[in-house]
Amino acid sequence: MFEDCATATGLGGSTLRTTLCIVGAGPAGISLALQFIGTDTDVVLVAGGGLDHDDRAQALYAGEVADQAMHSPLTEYRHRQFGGSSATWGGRCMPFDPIDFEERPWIDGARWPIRHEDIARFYPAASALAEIGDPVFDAREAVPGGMRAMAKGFVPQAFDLDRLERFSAPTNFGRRYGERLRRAPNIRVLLNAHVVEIRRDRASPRIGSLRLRTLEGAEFAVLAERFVIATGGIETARLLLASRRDDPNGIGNARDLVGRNYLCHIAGTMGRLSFTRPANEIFHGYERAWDGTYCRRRMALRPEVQREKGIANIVLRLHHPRLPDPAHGRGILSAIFLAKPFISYEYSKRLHGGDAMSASLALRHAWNVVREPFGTAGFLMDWARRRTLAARKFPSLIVAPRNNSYSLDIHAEQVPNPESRITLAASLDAFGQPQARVDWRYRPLDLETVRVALHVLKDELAQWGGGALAFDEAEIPDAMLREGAYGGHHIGTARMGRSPEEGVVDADGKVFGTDNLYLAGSATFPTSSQANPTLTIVASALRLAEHLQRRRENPAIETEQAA
Amino acid sequence: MIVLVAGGSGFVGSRVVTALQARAPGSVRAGLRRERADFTRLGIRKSLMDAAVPATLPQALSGVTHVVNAMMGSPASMVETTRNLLAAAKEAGVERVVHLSSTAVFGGQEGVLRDNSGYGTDVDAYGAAKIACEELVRASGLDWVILRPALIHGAGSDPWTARIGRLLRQRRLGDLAERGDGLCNLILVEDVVAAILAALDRDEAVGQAFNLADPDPVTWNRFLMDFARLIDAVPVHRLPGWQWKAEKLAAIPLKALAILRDKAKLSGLPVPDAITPSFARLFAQAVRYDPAHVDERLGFSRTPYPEGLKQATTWFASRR
Repeated sequence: MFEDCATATGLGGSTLRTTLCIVGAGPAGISLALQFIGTDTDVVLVAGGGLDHDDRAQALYAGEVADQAMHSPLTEYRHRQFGGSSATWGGRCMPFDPIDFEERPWIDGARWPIRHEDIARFYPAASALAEIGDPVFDAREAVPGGMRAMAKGFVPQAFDLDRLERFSAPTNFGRRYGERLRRAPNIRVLLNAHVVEIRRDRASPRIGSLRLRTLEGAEFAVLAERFVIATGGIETARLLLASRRDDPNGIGNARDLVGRNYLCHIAGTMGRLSFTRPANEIFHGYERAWDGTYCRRRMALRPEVQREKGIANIVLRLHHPRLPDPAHGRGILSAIFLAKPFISYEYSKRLHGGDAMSASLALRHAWNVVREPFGTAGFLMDWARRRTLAARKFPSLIVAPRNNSYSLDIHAEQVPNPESRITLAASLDAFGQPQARVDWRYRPLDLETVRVALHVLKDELAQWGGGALAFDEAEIPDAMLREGAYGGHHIGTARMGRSPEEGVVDADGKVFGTDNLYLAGSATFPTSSQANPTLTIVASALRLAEHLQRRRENPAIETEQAA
Repeated sequence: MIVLVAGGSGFVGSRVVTALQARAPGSVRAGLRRERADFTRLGIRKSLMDAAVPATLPQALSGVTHVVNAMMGSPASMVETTRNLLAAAKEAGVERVVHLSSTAVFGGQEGVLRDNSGYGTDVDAYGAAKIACEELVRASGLDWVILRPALIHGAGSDPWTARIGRLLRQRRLGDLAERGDGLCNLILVEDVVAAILAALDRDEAVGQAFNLADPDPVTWNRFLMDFARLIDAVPVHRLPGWQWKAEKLAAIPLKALAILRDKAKLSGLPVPDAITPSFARLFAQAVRYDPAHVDERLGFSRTPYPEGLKQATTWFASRR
């Protein structure tokens, strides 16, 4: 059932009791709550917003950014509403790789307390929830007869060209699963309820309650046997740090780890890959699986090369030429560039980079549009049909360049860095709670990974002879950091570890030093992988659900962990 | 045992007739309103009858020990024909009547329903007529068995196989997302026939009502996606919100057109299927039927879902 705390009467001063309280109704929180439908566990799922976007709730996300060139404002890429940031995501899904979970001595802090299989066995169920079709991530198996080759005849040794990304509808978890939760008699969804503090039970290891407030002025408490915080990489750290009544440095922060190792991805577009093979032998678009899912190939740097070169995980995709440069000659690319003011912040930033518009630049783009009127109009009609009007949306702009010359879209792991962090700001939100302050940092290895991968690809192409990659090494920092921390992937601020020295939570997701406080989602990932995080966020939430169910059935698990 | 199958020409009835003939030649009489040449070829004995005309019934029931009521019709005619048939059967000294009802008697209820669960309070005209018929059966003074199939699919099923296939090919059904999370309670027509034979044979079934459905139903989304894949209506279309609105607007004129066509007896005229609001609601209805009682008392074997769907889609794909 749903209860809107903004309009509920008699809420102030009240106390709700439940078995399991989940804070955060994004992909992690919703996926977790769904697993308890039909069980004997009573669940309260707390959503810090309503069913739709609301400016006042969203404003609670505002915070400080140390270097605005390095990180987007904290109200972007996140949605404080039921469904969370799945209200805005692009839907790109792929699993983490086995190497992500391995010990990699050449990367400081790259250490997981669990194995790849521990997460991987939940990918099928996570794929179903994310609506990405069959959990097949190999281009040879995703469609009957295999997908079209990216570049016919190009079989590099260092890259696996059969790795896939599959696209969600993109599914808004709130819209998609809200009805199931509403119908479940043992699930109570609180809308517009904002958790402001986690409180211990008389300074014991047991968390006793959460303090919640509404923007309408009510304050109340939720008591539960177990609590899960699933509010994303930034809010999770903020809430732990701000819960200082019983722990002066914040809950779970005895060793000053909360908020550290704040990771995103290193991403950007650069280089010029010119194929000498015929244009019809090059394919960088999407194919659809039988269930309608859009699939696309990516070039994944093989794990043995990562080990040999001592670099991080990385993938590359063929990409249309950079939009701001009118030399691409494509009307549609210019039209999109000119339409910048009408495109949402997240996408416009991605498409346009930081380039400023000038009159002469606008004119040159306008000329591209004018000289290709039918191509541009046809594209827009196709776009309307396959994206705007479609429920399963064509994922991204695919325009083959006129001259068979592509750029490379790069998406690389960001390596752990304790200096990259979320802390509490001096500024306060509407509840008088400290806002988050983001100081995102990267390490030399982050850019070195990109540099090495580009060189390896360049050599492979030269050996093949069907194409050539040109890039300027000096361009790497600018191209990769044009957007600073990439997009909405907020990872690692309350990482999983084998011991309290190594992490904020244990292998089960339980906060060290507590009996019954768990974290779900990307905050707990010690490393960021090359992969976009949502699929693994959902998979790890399903893993946590299994653990919590087992623990309920067999309380001995509790003592086992504590011992 | 001599069995009269009333509605012996119908989708279920004709299959019951041939199954009975195959198992005990000469033991079945097909109750028909019109002649049927294929039954003659199979050596099936026919009884021309019209349950709306009581005078035609004594002849058809003469010598009959068991009656299967598989008659179809409008809600109003259904109650009348059932009343007439039951009265004539009582008069003729029939031992047992196996009456085909429907899970429509439960209306829009959700959760787990048992064979003795109460009727729905929100039933439509069809469901209300089925309830009225069940009450007539219970009060008939005959030994009775009531069978309530869920959605009968398989070879020959227009509503739950052919129509679904058409709508999938037209991309008017497919991946329904949150609108398709309801449970798809199917029963293969062959399984309904098996249940009817069991109801004729087993004394433990007498005086009982049984719901016939897959004990472990898949969601509508799963069913529609699997169906689409098997008939190659891929990539499966995911329905956007605006398409549902358009279907809702189109449903009334389409329904009206279909009624006009039937009145004008132009059955060959192709009128697109309507996705009416009640049809659309079904996709979200989460109800399942507890099989414990039916398994214990009736004990017929059900075709597993993948096998049943394969049969249904093979038939659909081979038509035309």
